[in-house]
Amino acid sequence: MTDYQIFRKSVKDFLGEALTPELRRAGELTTSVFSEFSAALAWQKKLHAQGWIAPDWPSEFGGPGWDIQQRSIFQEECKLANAPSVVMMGIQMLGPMLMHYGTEEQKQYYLPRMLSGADIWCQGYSEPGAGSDLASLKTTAVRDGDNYVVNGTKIWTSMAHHANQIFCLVRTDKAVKPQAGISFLLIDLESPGITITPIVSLDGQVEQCQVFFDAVKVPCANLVGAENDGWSVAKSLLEFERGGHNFTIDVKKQLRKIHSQAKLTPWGEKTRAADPVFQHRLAEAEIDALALEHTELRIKGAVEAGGNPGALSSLVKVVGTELGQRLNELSIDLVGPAAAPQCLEALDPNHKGDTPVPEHALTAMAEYINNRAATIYGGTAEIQRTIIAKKVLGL
Amino acid sequence: MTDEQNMLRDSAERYLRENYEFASRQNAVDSGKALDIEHWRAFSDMGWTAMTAPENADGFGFGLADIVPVIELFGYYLVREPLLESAVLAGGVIAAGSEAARALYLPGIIDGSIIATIPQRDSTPLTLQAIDGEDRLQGDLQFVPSGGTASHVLAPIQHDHEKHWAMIDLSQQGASRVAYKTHDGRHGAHITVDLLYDDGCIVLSGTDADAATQALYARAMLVAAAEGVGAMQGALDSTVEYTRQREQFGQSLSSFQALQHRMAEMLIQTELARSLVLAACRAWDTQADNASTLALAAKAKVDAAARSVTQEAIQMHGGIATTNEYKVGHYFKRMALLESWPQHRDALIAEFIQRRQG
Repeated sequence: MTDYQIFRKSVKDFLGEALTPELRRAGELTTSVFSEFSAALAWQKKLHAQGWIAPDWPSEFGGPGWDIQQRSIFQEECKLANAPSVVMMGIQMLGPMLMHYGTEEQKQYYLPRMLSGADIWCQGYSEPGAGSDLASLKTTAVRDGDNYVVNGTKIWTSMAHHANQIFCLVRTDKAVKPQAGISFLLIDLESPGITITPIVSLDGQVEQCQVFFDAVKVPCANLVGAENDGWSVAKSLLEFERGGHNFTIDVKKQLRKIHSQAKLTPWGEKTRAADPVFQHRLAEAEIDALALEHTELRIKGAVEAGGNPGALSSLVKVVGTELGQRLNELSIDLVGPAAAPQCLEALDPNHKGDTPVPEHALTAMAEYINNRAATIYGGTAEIQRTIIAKKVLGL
Repeated sequence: MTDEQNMLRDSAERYLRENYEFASRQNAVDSGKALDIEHWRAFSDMGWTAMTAPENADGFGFGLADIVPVIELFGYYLVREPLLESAVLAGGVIAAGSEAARALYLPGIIDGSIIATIPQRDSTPLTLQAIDGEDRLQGDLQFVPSGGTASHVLAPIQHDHEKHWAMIDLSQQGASRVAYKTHDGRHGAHITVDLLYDDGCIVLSGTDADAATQALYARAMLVAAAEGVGAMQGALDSTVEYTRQREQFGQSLSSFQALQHRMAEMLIQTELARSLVLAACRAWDTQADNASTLALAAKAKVDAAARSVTQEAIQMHGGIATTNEYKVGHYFKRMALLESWPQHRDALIAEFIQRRQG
């Protein structure tokens, strides 16, 4: 066995042991980016105990010291074993940014708590009037002694109803051009003056919230980077959000699920797996999945050789999310009317008892509905195409 | 990339940039000649005909992945001489053939005196049978690409239950062709063979021939796919450049977001195809288990991507691109022809499905 095969086996062995049936069930029933929260937290604690909670972090901050290949093997095995997904805004997004821009105190206090799950972070960027045009954001932070006083509102704040911390972009200077007057603040969600209102998504579940700030006092020590320098801090993070994700693994898992759905869906005497029309559509999607996979590998190779994925991460985000949505369509087209029941109770991993639809049809519609968000969050498909046009094509 | 590969790529880039600009290509097309003999000589002088030939036959011994950048340039510059068909595809089969066949044909492939082409994948093989006491080789090869340009066609033969591949010299008595111009500026042909059999033409037989068939058409797909990536890049570059210059409503077309996003999509499709083609060529060179499946996938991806990229290129250029004197439409035409080479896309998808299941 090569070193990577040995590594893969050690990951598999760990997952075989650590993933209880309850945790696996939570993974199976995950219909969006997020798993049921208590399972996600329980899984985070197990990974933390193993030292594997932050695969991308350098070892000095508590990462396992894996290379790119090992990280990708770990991600793939977790996904294929139906591990729940960990709430990642802290570890994947804020963590690397704090390592780069944070003060010593911020690193020492926040990073370990991020790893252990003592703090659950959410991201406060978008506002009702500031989506793709993020720089037009209006939430203000005004200095008052050792504090900032924050007023305004953030929306599409995933997991805010479970989180205890939020990292925010706030306006600290209205007189300059929009990008220049923004700062990056860490805010404790327990602070007086904060209201969190859950938003019910199309699939009937709650993942997003709106967060309101009414004269919320935030210590100046919670500023990350320099005052009015929040835009560049956040931009580095956005590229991380886009570039850090491995879409091939998601797509492979979806394809695996579609294959099993096809084999379980009757089609006359046979199953849909034998339907040439379905086979043709699946083959087209599989070919596109191969193209995505080898594009991600090409980028990974370039990064390993010291390059920067730059705008290619936009390419992968567009292709990965749009292909994912196409696969969702294949799924509901396969499952047909069995995808109609809403199944909110049955999609809760703690649910006991009957479900109104066969197991293989349980998640298809919720996934399809929920995944419309994939081409909107993390920079819309339109924003990504604009980035490609500007940065790669020079238009 | 090794120094040798870089040199090859750079020499190809320089030669084609300086000598193969679109206007002179079109002059050659309009001259009615199937091939520009000066280009052809230059190609072999520069060693392009020896790219993939084995080192013990005075070749460079490059794999497909090594020469992808060169093949892309052939697409980019719309090269119409059948160098890839002759040197890489027919040459590849000959290199795997008998000692005698190698000695007889490889030097000619490399020095350019032989211009070989190959038929469509689903062509009916020639037959070999005794007629009036003579062994006769007979049959028709329909729609042979560059069949009007070639000196030889590498043809399949079915004899009893055995398959062979043979080099048929098209200048000999008993070999005839009806040549025609194709939409991509090349010369195709229907080839009819009815000649007295001489076993000197046999390149390989039996299980070797079966393996060669598999390899030949997988390589044909990969070569066509790599050429397609180059053509897509050409169509994209031209579109970006043209929309920058062209002004309407008082501003450059490239400033319109409706067009920017579509050009971004052209780039996305080109890069996806490029990644898959490179990976499939590497898989082929290293004889990976999934090499044949990846070759099918790469060709099918390029077919779909090139169709949309070259159509979009015409649309965004506007009327000018519908004229024969403007370059970008020629990418569209070349790709439209490559889409059914060496077999139409639906057949590739069907085989892909079969392989995934088997």
